[in-house]
Amino acid sequence: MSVAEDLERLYDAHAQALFAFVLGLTRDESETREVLQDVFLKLARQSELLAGAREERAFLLHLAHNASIDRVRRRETREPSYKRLACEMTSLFAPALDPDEQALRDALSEALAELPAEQRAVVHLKLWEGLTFEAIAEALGIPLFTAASRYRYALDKLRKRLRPLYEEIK
Amino acid sequence: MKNDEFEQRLQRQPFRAVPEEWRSEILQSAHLARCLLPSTFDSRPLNWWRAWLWPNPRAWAGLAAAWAAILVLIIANRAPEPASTASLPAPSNQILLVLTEQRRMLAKLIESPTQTPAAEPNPAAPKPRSQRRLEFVTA
Repeated sequence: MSVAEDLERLYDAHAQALFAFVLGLTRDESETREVLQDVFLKLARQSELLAGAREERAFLLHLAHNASIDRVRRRETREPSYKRLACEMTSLFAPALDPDEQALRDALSEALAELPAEQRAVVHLKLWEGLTFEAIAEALGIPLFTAASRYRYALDKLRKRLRPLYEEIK
Repeated sequence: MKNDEFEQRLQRQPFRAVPEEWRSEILQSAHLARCLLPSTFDSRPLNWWRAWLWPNPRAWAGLAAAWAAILVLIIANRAPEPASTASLPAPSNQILLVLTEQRRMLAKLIESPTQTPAAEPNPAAPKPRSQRRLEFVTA
């Protein structure tokens, strides 16, 4: 398989997951596009990068996380109001036909935006990627217990924040 | 609100889809970046060779050594041999007798050379001009 074909396969297999993860971190669609492009440029330039990776998806998420953190930090330095603007962005989730479901998605999107980026990353990888704490720790370059505690704290915050709505629409 | 139930509810929320047009844009720029790499050296053939040879490197090395030895032998056999008489058939007794006779005659000739006296100068022969002038002066 040529490098071009390999990149196409990687995109088709992982772009959606990378998009959701990076959008959750950057809270900005154009930044997300830039991060995805950074990841694929890196893969194109260093095709041997994935050779040593145990889990392709986890490794790509690791690359995307690093690229996102770099971009967000640069952006925050340039534009101090970026954090506030990021919280006001549109939903991370697909639109729902059911109004209750839509309300939950909007509330969840806002609640996630209020979490610190490091907790958001752990919650995303645990809930929506189904990674183990070990894999999360490896992907984010943090100790295992840090990953677990970040998840616990983040989930508590989400539960508190969403409890009224959740009880209402359950 | 049970924890598992809450987590499962969150997990069921689908994310927005990645915009379709990004695929071609991102892959195109990646392809372009690949083409603009400073080194155009493609390591694939090398990897292919390595993959092919790698399972039995010792066997391949042994085979290569055997071929090298065969080549050396062929080259050594092709080298021109120095001319030697060892391979010639031994001369017959008759030839040896003739050769001995010739050698003996040659030795005799060398030992008793013919004593031919030096030829007397002919007095009638013309003398050098300087000597003739001297004779003319003394006369």
